[in-house]
Order: sequence, then C-alpha cells, then structure tokens
Amino acid sequence: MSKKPIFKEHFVLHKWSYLLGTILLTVSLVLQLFVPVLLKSFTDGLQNESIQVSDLWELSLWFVIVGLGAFLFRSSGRIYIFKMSRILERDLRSSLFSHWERLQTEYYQNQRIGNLMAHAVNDVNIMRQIVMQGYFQMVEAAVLISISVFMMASTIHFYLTLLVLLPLPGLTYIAYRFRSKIQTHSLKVQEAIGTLTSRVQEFCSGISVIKTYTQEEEERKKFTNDNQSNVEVNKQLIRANSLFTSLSQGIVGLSYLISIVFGSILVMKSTISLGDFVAFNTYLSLLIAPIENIGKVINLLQQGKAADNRIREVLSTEPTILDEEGIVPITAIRGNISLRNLSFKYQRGKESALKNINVTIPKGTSLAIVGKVGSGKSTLVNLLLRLYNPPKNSIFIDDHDIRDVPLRTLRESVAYVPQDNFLFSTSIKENIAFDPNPYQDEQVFHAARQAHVYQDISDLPDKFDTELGERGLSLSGGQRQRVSIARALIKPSPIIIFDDSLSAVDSKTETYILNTLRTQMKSRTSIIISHRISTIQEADQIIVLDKGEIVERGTHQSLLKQDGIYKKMFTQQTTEFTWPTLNGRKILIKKRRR
Amino acid sequence: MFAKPYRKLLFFSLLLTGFIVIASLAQPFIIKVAIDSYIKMNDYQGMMYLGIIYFILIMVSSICTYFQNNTLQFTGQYVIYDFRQAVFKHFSVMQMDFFRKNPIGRLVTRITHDVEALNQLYSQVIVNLVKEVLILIGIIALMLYMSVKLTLICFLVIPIIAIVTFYFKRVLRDTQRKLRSILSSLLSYLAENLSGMSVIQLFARERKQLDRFNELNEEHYRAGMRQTVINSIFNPSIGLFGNISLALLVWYGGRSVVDETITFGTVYAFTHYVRQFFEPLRGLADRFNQIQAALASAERIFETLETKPTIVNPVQPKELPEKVKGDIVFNHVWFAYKNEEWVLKDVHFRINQGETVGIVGATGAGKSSIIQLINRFYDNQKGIISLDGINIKNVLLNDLRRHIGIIQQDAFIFSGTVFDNIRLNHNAVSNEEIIKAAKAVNIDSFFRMLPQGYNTMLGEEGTVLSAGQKQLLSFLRAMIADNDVLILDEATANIDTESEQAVQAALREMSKNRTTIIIAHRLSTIQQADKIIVLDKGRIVEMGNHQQLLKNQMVYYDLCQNQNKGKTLKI
Ligand SMILES: Nc1ncnc2c1ncn2[C@@H]1O[C@H](COP(=O)(O)OP(=O)(O)OP(=O)(O)O)[C@@H](O)[C@H]1O
Ligand SMILES: Nc1ncnc2c1ncn2[C@@H]1O[C@H](COP(=O)(O)OP(=O)(O)OP(=O)(O)O)[C@@H](O)[C@H]1O
Ligand SMILES: [Mg+2]
Ligand SMILES: [Mg+2]
Repeated sequence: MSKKPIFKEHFVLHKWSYLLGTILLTVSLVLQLFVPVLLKSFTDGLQNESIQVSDLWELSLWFVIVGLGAFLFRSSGRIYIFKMSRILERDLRSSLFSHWERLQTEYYQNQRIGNLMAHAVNDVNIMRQIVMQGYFQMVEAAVLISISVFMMASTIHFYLTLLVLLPLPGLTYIAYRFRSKIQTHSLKVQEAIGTLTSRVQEFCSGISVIKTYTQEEEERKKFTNDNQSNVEVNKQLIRANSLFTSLSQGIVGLSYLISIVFGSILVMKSTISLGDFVAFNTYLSLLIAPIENIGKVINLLQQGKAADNRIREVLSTEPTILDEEGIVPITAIRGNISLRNLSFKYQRGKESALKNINVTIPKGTSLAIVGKVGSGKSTLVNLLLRLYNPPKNSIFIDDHDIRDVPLRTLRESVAYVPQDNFLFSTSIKENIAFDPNPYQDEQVFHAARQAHVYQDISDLPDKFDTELGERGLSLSGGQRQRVSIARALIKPSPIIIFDDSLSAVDSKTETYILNTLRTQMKSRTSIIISHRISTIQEADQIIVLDKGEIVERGTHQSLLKQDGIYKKMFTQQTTEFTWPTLNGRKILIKKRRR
Repeated sequence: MFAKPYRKLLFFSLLLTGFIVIASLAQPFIIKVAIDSYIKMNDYQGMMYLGIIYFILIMVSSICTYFQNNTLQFTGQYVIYDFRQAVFKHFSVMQMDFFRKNPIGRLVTRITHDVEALNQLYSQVIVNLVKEVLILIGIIALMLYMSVKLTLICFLVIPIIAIVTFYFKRVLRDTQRKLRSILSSLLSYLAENLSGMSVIQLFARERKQLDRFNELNEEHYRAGMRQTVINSIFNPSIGLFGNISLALLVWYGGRSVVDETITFGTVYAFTHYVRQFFEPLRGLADRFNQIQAALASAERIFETLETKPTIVNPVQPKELPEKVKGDIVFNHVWFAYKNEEWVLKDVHFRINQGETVGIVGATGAGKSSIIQLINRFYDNQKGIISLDGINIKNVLLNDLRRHIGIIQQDAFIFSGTVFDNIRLNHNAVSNEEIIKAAKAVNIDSFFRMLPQGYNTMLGEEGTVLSAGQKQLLSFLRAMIADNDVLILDEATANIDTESEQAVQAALREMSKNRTTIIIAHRLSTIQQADKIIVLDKGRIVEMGNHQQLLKNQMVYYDLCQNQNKGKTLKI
C-alpha cells in the first residue's frame, strides 16, 4: 500500500474549504461564549441596581444578535464541513467503482462480491463519519478547550491551570495505548460485516438451489453463526471502547480532583480569591463535554484508519490487464488471428490449461473448437479477449502481439457471446444495445431478428422496453441466450466469438440463427465453440482440444477420415438417433453428406 | 417489540445512567461543601477527606461508565442480532418471486445497513432520551414552582419550536426515506455490476456504466446534502431559540426586578435554568435526526417483515409418505408470472409412477415453468397439481421438495469444498459415495487433479469451474440427493458427447423405477422416454412416445426432422 491515507489526501485537496468551515464554526463558538458575559453584565447590573429599562432593551437585542450570529455561523460552518464529508463519501464511492472497473477477472475470482460491497457501504460510511463527527467535534473541542484554558491561565491562576492539566497527557498516553487495539477490533468488525454481506449475497444468488434442496435450515445456521461472530467482535470493540472511555473519564475526573483540592488550598492560603475558585471550576465544567468528545473522536479515528486501510487496499490493487508500455496505437483491426506456441496456466491452476497451441485464423475465415468439458475452449477465447494476460509473443492479431494492441481497440473489435449469458436489469433494448456506441431502434430490432428473438420479445407486453430482472432471470434460458447473441450481433466488429452459444436453443431456432449468421460471417473472422457437431461442421478449420492440447485438426471431412475423437463424437451424435419409418421399420438417420 | 427481551438490561443501564448523572451532579455540590464547610474554616484535613471522597466518586463513576457503556451497546448488538435473524429467517421463507423482484443489493442492505441504523436507536437514543426528558421535566417543575409568569414568558418560544420541529420532522423523514432508497438502488447497481464486470469490460462499456453509477452517486450526494442542510438549520436553531428566550427573560425579568414585582434571586436562577433547559433540548434535536434515520430504516425493515410470503405451508398439512411413488398429475393447470399473461394454458397431463417423461418445445414455451410449479417455486392460478394423488398445495413445502430433485438450467456453486457442494445437507452421504458418483459421470479425475482434491474450495474466492464442470457437479448433487422424483432441465446442454454418454448411462440407472422428467432441446436425450410432452406457447400440442409422435407427423416430427437436416450452414 503505497498510497497516502485517503483522508489526508482529501483534506489537503480541500484545505481551503476546511479552513473556511473551521473559521465559521470557530466564530460561532466564540459568539456563543459571549452569552455568559452578557448574562454576567445583566445580573451584575441588576444586583447593583445600575441597570435602566432602556438598557434592558439593548441587552435583549444583544442576546438576539449574538444568538442570530451564532446560529448563522454555526449553520453555515456545519453545512460547509458536512459537505466535505459528503464529498468525500461520493468521491470515494466513485473512485472505488471506477477502480473496480479496471480490475481483471482474476481479481474477482479471489473476492467475494459481498465483501466488495461492504467496502463501498460500511467502510465509506465510516470515512464520512470521520469528517462529519470526528472533524467537526474535534474543532469544537479544540476551540472550547483552548479558550477555556486560556481564560483559566490568564485570568485566574497560571500554575493551578498547569497543575490541572497535568493528568491530561495521561489521556494522550491512553489514546496511544488503545490505538492498535481499537484498530484491530474495528478491522475485525468491518470484516465481519463483509462476511455477513457475502453470506446474504450468496444466499440470494443461490436461492433456487437452496430451495430445491431444502437448504434453508442449513443456510440459517450458517447465517446465525456469522451473525453471532459479528456480535462477538462487536462486543470486543465495545469493551475496548468502553474501557477507553471510562479511563479517560477517570483522568478528567482527576483534573477536577486537583482543581478542587489544590484550588481550595490556594484559597485557604489566600493566593486566589473565592470568586476565582468558583470561576475556575465553571470553566473546568465547560471542558467536560469537549474532552469526552475528544475521546470519542480518537476512537472514531482508529476505526477510520481501519476503514482507510481497507479501502486503500482496494485502490492500490494494480490492474494487471492494461495497456502496457510500447503498445501500437492502432484503432482498427482487420481480423487476422494467429496463436503461436500458446501455453497458459491459471494462477490458481495446478496444470496448464492450454499447452502449445498453434493456430492461424486468416481474416474472414472461421475456426471451430470442440472438446471435452474443461478442455480449455473458453480459456482460449478468454485469452483472445485478454480477460487474462497471455504470455508475450503467443497471440498475434494482424501481426501485432495482442499485448501491444490497445485493450479498447481489441475489445471493440470483438463481438462476443459468453458461455454464461449475464444480462443486466435494464430494459431488453438497453441490453441488446449494450455496446457503448449509439444505436437506432431499427438496429436493435434487426439484431434481435438475427438472433431470432424478435418474436419472443414482441410477445411481451412491454416489448423491447420490458425491464429484465437481475441477471435477466425473468426470461427463459433460451431467450436469455438469444438476447446475449443479439447483444453481440449488433456490433459491427471484424471478429466474432460464440462460446457454446446455441446450447439453450432448440434445433429449429439454431438452424435459423446459423442461417442468418452465414451472411454475417463471410466478412468476419469467427470462432465458434460447441459440443454439437451440427453447429460447427462447416467451419474452415476445426480443432479438437483435449486437456489443453490440440489433438486433432482439419475440416469436417478430413477429421472424419482421421478416425479419432472427432469421428467418434460424430458417430455418437448421429447414430444415437433412431428414426422409425412410417411402416414401423427402423432406419438409422445419417447426416446428409455432401 | 424487539427490545422486550432486553428490558432487564436496559433497566440496568438506566440505573447506571442514573448513578452517573448523580455523580456528575455531585461535583457542584462538592464544591459548595468545600466552600461552605472547609475553605471558610481553613480546614485542611477536612478538605483532604473531601478529596478522598471525591476520588472514590470519580473511580466509581468511571467504573459505572464502563458497565453502562457495555450493557447499553451490548443490548444494541443483541437487538441487531435479533433483527438480522428475523430478517434473514423471513427471507428464507419468501417465495422465488420475491428474489426475482428484489435486486440482491437491496436485500443485502436490508440486513446489513438498515439494521445497523436501528442499532443507534437502542444503543444511544433511548437511554439519552430518557435522561434528557427527565432533566427537562425537572427543570420545568422547578421553574414553574419559582414563577409561573416568568416561566410562561421564557417559554413563549416553545410553540414556535414545536411548529418548527413538526415541520422539520416531515421534511427530514422524507429526505431520510429518499436517502435510504437511493442508497439501496446505488448498492443494487453496484452489486450487479460487480457480478457482471467481465461483460462490461468485454464490451468496453466501463465509461457508460461509471456514468450511470456517478449519476446515482450524485443523486445520493444531493439527497445527503439536503439532509445535511436541513439538519444544519434545524439543530443550531434550537440554540437560537434559547438565546431568544434569554432575551425575553432579560427584557421582562429585568423590568420586573426594576418594578420590584419579581425578586432578583428568581431572575438570577432563571438565567441558569433557561440555559440548562436548552442544553438537553439541543441534545434532543441531535437525537432527532438519528431517530428519523432509525425510523426510516425500521419502516423498511418492518415493511419487509410484513410482506407475507405468498407460497406458504398449508394450515393442515397432509403428510407425504417417506417414499413417494411419483404419480404426478397436472389437472387443467393455468399459470402466469404476472397478471393474466398466461405462460401455461390449460396444461393437462399425467405421469405415472416410475415413468420417464420428456418435455420438448421451442425456447420460451414454458418447459421450465412447468418444473417450477411442481416444486412450488411458483403457484399456479388455476387447476390442480398433485403428487401421489395429494394436491401439492396441501403438503409442507419442505416435505414436497425433499422428494423432488431438480437439476437446473444454470448451476450455482456455493463457496465451500467440492464435497460440501455436492453433498449439501445430506450429511449421511459418505465421501466414498460421492467419489463413486463422480466416477460414474467421468469427472472424478478432474476433481482429483484440483490442488486439494475434493477438499478444494469452490465458489466465490475458490477455484473456478468450466461451465460443463458446473453442470456435472449439479448432476452429482441430484445423484447424491437420491430424490424420489428426478427432474432435469437442460442438464446436459454444456456437456460434451462423451461425458454426456456417461451422464445418460447414470441417468438410465437412476430413472429405473423413479419418475423422471427430462427437458432437453437435443431430442436424442429424450427419445427413449415413455412419454413425450410437446409444448408450444404454453399449450400441450402433442403427447405420446417417440414412435407415436413421429407417426402423427406434427410438431414433434418437424422438430426431429429439423434436428437432422438443414445444417447446411457454411460457417
Ligand atoms: N420469472 C419470470 N417472470 C416473468 N416471466 C417469466 C419468468 N420466467 C419465465 N418467464 C416467461 O415465461 C415464458 C416461459 O418461460 P420458461 O422458462 O418456462 O421457458 P422454457 O420453455 O423453459 O424455455 P427455454 O427452453 O428457453 O428454457 C417465457 O416467455 C419467459 O419470458
Ligand atoms: N480462473 C480459473 N482459474 C483456475 N482454473 C480455471 C479457471 N478457469 C477455468 N479453469 C480450469 O481450466 C480448465 C479449462 O476451463 P475452460 O473453461 O477453458 O473449459 P472449457 O473447455 O470451456 O469447458 P466447458 O466445455 O465446460 O465450457 C478447467 O479445468 C477449469 O476448471
Ligand atoms: Mg467453456
Ligand atoms: Mg427453460
């Protein structure tokens, strides 16, 4: 964590605003201190019977003026300082979000969404409170304390004041001693909230599995556990807090003790007058609240530090997928792809997910990938999209190393249908026009027609304006997949990638989509992953992956001749279907050969 | 309602509070004693004794503070705990629909954030409130006792304060509500975007998503500022009224003293009381905002707790036998997710004990919807669904679901080990059985190769599985659960041919003597079924076995033909 504390940075950035707010608040506090002075002149005047009725008017007016002044300054000072806290909150959330947008898939695989949310809610809230309560009360306390102390020392007795202040360094010491304790406990509390958030988050995401397998009881138990440990860590923090508070109160009490005992001795010795003694104690009583507040503020600051650290940890996570030095500033891609000795291992993985892959896909041709579950098909396209960083010099696009191609250019040039069809909870239209470029409604409709989902959408009451639920779950599986296809097809990009993207549609729809795709694909480089040979048999190249290696390659025809995995797949997929003729005689349906 | 169990604790802390208040009030008293009895007598020794007594007072008060703080805030934590338990429990009995309609972010905030705001109500507001109100009452009583007239004069401002408070209360409440609801949309947005981050990145749409986030963020900021401004006017205004009250006192009281209608002593005392009166009032004003915030949260929480689940256990449940036969009957079932937009129309079929039934139809025909009715994720509006002759609405939800295993279209992986994920709550299942099942569907070797084998953590923060691996895992879940009725919804869509053969073999084994429903777009997976139901736009258009349906030469025939030709695509 190299970055400076967030709060410090924010403070420095807005130092003038803070100064102004502080001044406004100080003025109001000072004004408010005039009230006792005015009162004194009133009571003194009454006592001496020196006051006139006309003076009373004036005095009343003064009260109102001072009151009004204190009110205005306090209001504006408060608004000013609190505004800073809101700005801090807003800016932090915004920078968290924009930072998260830069972080790679790998980061998200090591994080729980619930935890990340806790950063954006709780930690940011604590940061806001540092300013709202911490800073505000600190200013208030500092002003009141220094004025009172100054009055005590200058008008009453200097040494007595010193003596009274003697226990106060003890306060600093205690604050110092409790610092790390409160910080650790706060951290635990903040983490516990993260865990709790994650638990609920997971519960809601997995609700259908939970219900199907009647897991509710189990989940409640888990939640209860988390909930309990949350209470536990909170209690620890509270205990530390209370101890700190009561100790500091004890120390403040000691100051009183000194002031009373030594003060009275001084009076007895006639060093100070009785009146001074009373006044001294009045000032001291003015100090109670601010000193107690300082204790709270110190506390808050420690919690803030923990939150600060947590947030900084996020913000200082460097994105690993970004435009590196020496990128070639190209803005368009033609679509020649070539993989040279591509091997790749996931950070978490024990074995390489891809080994020594060599493929060239010239512009405008198609590559089909088949292979067993977990053989590395999605991995390969993920690398092409740079969701992960491929090793240098292993993937080339238009003869540029993919790592030298600007990320933006790369991703703008690829229309991609991912294997899981994540949709957003916006309208269908917005989902299809997800590509940031502007699209006309007509284009959206066209894409929907191409993906053969136009009719489905038109049957909905709100048509293209239908708002989807989270993840698009209010659509059927096949509808979701086709919206996802439409989302890709609307992009006029030179490369198109389908990752098992016709798995949830019926064969009629599949044929339809494939037919409309045909025209699209002529001018585009395409990569299609599928488990169904029917989907991919006419690709220009087909590769068969097994455990991350290309074990077979060729065209449909040549692969069938090889009598390998592909051939086996093909026979299995075709012979499994029996087709009785009308007169009851069973015949085997073979693929139509050309 | 939620504080009830903790009345004792609250009472205890109130007691302690009382003691602390007395201790802090004792200080002026001790000074008075010091002045009157010792200083004037020059009694050093007496002074020392007083010092010691005061010291003890400080110590005791300090200790009381410790316990008071602890009890109070612990109580707050217990209340939070109870609330969280209640809300979570409530969530866990809500029907599917609830989770589809409420974004996850919103539900999460309900449990974490909203409840936290309530904490303040208990841990800080209540006790202070009592303290402050007590002080106020005491002062008012004293003032009235000394001079009714002067009291009334000083309290001329009270009606204005009441009006102002009343006004601010309304405004504040509104802003609090707004603030909460914006925050919850902000978080829902955040949660969704974090889940779908790779899609955003792949479409290079970071900018637009950020813009939208900032829009919401800005809205939240503005609502927050509004609240801040209102509060910043309201809070100090109490001080202003205090000063005005003082002015009235000075003006009227001063004149009365000059007129000699009121004694100087009374007016002098009043100058103290008025100030003392407005001190706790200011505290109350501070509290006020917290109360409003807590109320806004409480409102939302209670609202949540009060939304009754629509799919509930029957009052007089019938019990299903330990092992059901698996006769499923749909008797003229109509179903719509919303209003009258019928997704299933007059669906009528019967599945006999032990039969294997396939459901086919175009996407969006309503296949998954049928499944969701069988285990009551949703309730049908018309018609009756029965299992073994018992209307499924007459049995306990868990009793019903326990008998029905469903493998869904998308597999969800929990964070937990491979074993945990497959076993779920079937604790009786041994590791060996799981491994055996995994071998049967050809995924054992993969699990073994993971860093910690079957004990590798999956899910968030854990190892990532490929789509097909997830599907196999969810198939394993069903194998292990060994339910009496087995339902597969597109369970092999992302699985390669070889693995699928293994799955089919396992499935054949499982479907022996077990009612099995299979939904598949690949007709090959269901052609062996005893019965195939063909669905089109929510209606059953055909029913029968493979041969019969082909003979019909209708929809199913078309589907089959389509699957076997027309693949003349040049990719
Ligand atoms: N939660 C929901 N809220 C509203 N409408 C829904 C919901 N789920 C599904 N639908 C609609 O109900 C219809 C039937 O959906 P269903 O999921 O049953 O289709 P399906 O036959 O399973 O299709 P697929 O083969 O694509 O999975 C679709 O038009 C869909 O848009
Ligand atoms: N982020 C990751 N970290 C570690 N291992 C991973 C990660 N993603 C995938 N894997 C593993 O890498 C292997 C290849 O996964 P990939 O998703 O490429 O398979 P696939 O060929 O697309 O399979 P499917 O047909 O099931 O979609 C799998 O064994 C998978 O478990
Ligand atoms: Mg894949
Ligand atoms: Mg479905």
